[in-house]
Amino acid sequence: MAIAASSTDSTLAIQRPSAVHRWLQHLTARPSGLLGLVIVVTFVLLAILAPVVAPHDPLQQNWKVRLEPPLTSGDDGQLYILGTDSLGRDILSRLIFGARISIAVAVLAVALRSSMGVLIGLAAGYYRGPTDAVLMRLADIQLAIPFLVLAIALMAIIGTGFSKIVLVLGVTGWVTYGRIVRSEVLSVRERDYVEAARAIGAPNRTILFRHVLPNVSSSIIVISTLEIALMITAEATLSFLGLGVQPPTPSWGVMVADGRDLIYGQWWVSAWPGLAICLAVLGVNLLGDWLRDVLDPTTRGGALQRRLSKRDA
Amino acid sequence: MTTKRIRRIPFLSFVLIAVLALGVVAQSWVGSSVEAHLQDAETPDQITIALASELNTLDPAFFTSSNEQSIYYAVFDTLVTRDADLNIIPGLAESWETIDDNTWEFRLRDGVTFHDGSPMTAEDVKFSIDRIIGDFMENPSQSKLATIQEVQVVDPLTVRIITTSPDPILLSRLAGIVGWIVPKAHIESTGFEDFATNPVGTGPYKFVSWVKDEELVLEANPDYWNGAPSIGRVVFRPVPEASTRLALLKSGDVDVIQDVPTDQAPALEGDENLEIIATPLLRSMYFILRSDQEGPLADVRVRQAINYAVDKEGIVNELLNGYGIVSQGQTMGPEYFGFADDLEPYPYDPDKARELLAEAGFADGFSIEMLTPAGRYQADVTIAEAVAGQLSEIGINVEIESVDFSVYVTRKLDRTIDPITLGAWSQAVYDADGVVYLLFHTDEPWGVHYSNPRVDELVEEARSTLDQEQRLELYREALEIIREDAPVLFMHQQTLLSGVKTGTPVLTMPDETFIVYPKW
Repeated sequence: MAIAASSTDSTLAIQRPSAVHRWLQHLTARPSGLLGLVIVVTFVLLAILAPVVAPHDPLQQNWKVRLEPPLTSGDDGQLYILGTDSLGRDILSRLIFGARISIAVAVLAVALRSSMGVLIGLAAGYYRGPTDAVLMRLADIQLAIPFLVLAIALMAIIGTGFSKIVLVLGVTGWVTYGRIVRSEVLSVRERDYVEAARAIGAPNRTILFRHVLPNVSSSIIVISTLEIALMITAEATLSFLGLGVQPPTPSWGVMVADGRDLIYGQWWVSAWPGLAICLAVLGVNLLGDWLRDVLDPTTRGGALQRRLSKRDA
Repeated sequence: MTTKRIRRIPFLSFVLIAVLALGVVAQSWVGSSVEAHLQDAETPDQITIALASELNTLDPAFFTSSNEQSIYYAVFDTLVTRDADLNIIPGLAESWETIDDNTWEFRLRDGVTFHDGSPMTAEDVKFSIDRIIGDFMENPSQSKLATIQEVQVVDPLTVRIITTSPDPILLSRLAGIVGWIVPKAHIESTGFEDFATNPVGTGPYKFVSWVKDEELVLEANPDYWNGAPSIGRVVFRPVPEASTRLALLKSGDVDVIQDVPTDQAPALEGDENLEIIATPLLRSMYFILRSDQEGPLADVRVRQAINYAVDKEGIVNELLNGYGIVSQGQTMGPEYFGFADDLEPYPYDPDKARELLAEAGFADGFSIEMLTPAGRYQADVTIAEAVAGQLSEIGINVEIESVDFSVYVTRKLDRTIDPITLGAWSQAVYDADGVVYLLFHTDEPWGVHYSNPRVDELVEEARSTLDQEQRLELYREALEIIREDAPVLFMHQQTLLSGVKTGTPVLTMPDETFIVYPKW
């Protein structure tokens, strides 16, 4: 009894730290992954703590200190670290609040895309036959229209604003998820444990969400991470074109557009938000690349992860 | 191995983006100092003008923007034209007289020929006006000459214009906009569609070529009746992006650019090869406050409160760097006949605004939507944001909707604009009729959703009264009522900045046109 108990303890003790340890190893072996993580965490923290860390009110106009260059204090004696825009608003504060918009739009849009795509992919891969054929032809049709063109057209029709941009970015991107999930499901559904579940009479719903979905989840996580970067640029693009978030709400895309005509004299108005978009996309991409390597079943880390998740299941 | 290569891509693209961004910024300094010196000081052979918007048609009957008027002025002539002080002077008509209140007789200049060599006669004048007022084609400009009932050819060099009612501003209507004289025989043989891309006129410049969205080339007409132009070629290039226009001017690729953002003016003033021309425009900016809908704006006190709440002086002096003139409680400036120079702007008085709001029952404010076109009018979105910011100070929470100009125009014509909507208006007739009638008369297609029977009466009477003193009084009374009713938030008269290579012989007019060959 004592022996059995200690052996259970020791397996647990060995197994858990080793998983964390491996992940840490992956991170240190890939400094770019670490960098990505640091950037993403920084932006997320800034977004959450925006009212605390922003030095000024992002909407407060002060025409006396408009277009102050970075690191100068205006006539009002206040320091504007990244300068002010054409209405005398503090650019740093607007950037910090802009992170909220970017992250919120990206996360919500990806949540919408992935849930649509996963459901469609699961259905197509699991039921096959006519369901599969119809859904995948729909995917082909959607793929034939370039994503941004479709998004711009939809925004022009339904109008602008935060909720609408989330909706448009959300419904136009299920195909990537749908196709990848479908192809994975096609192989997973032939596995023994799925057969076994079916043999004991488990309903389709249980098989799909208990046994199939967890085994395609790593792909979903990787695509979602990379798609976050795509959504950040898409939001910025639409807002830049005036089709997304509306001024005076501080969106990075709107801010770049604000400074478009000023690029000669007052580069900082659009350069900082441009740099913020660059950094955020870079960070998410680095993190996504690293996640892909770790979770990819064909690489060592992925195999490990697959084994761990199977054991947990 | 593969993963390593993939891993580098974000870094590489990041570096590339950074280099590109630096390049754009750096070009502004390097470009201006080096290339400006390479330019010859004088290039009188050709002038290249970068316009802020695209040209859509070269047929004046179908004109869509003031920029097209620059082309018409060079290629065509009108019966009468304007001098530097905007007084009416002879054009293709060397003299005119009124036979009675409704009949005008014009004596045409002898020996004027079109660019195709055919002589200009009374038949061409009749054709040019008939094709606009007549029903034989769909013409959006019909209303511009709506007071003309008939054109009669008396002899080859004499033409009579009969108006439906006495028209005090007939000459103004004929001196531009759609009053351009086109060759009857030529159009009848080639058709309107061809004419829209291949115009033939009597003007100082002949049409050479036009590649839409790229460039339009004109060439001096050596046989011009008023003397051949000294500048051989004029090229117009549409360049919608302001920063691109600045780059072209700084690099010497163009000689003149339209619409320099006011914040960029100091950058050009520092360059001794370039200069800024500031032209006070006919165009007035205002915000429509829809009084035709239920809601807070139906109460005149709320509309007045909005007028008190906005610091017009501050917007012009701070946001536009002083380029602009605060409107004197009317949507026009002194360039128009009928301007009331003793009306005052609403003063900036937020306390008074709050008081009025409270009186109207909105002490706690309200929320409202505001529509603005993006990038069409000078600093449009910035001004909308500034006004929204000021209205929030008195408790009015404004939600801005900034849209593409084409969407804005559609909604304006569909009468589906937001309760508060940015507007900007100019009419090159230089007469209050073009402003007070077209904006404030009930149910005008471009109007500001305002209706007041007394104003309707006044502007209708002013439209058909020949006595100019009496017209002044009629407009004066209408303008006073409108100022008090505040169907708009009165903003400012715009000042347009053009950037030119020092010494370029080009004139910028209050109607936003460029003149290379003045006809006075």
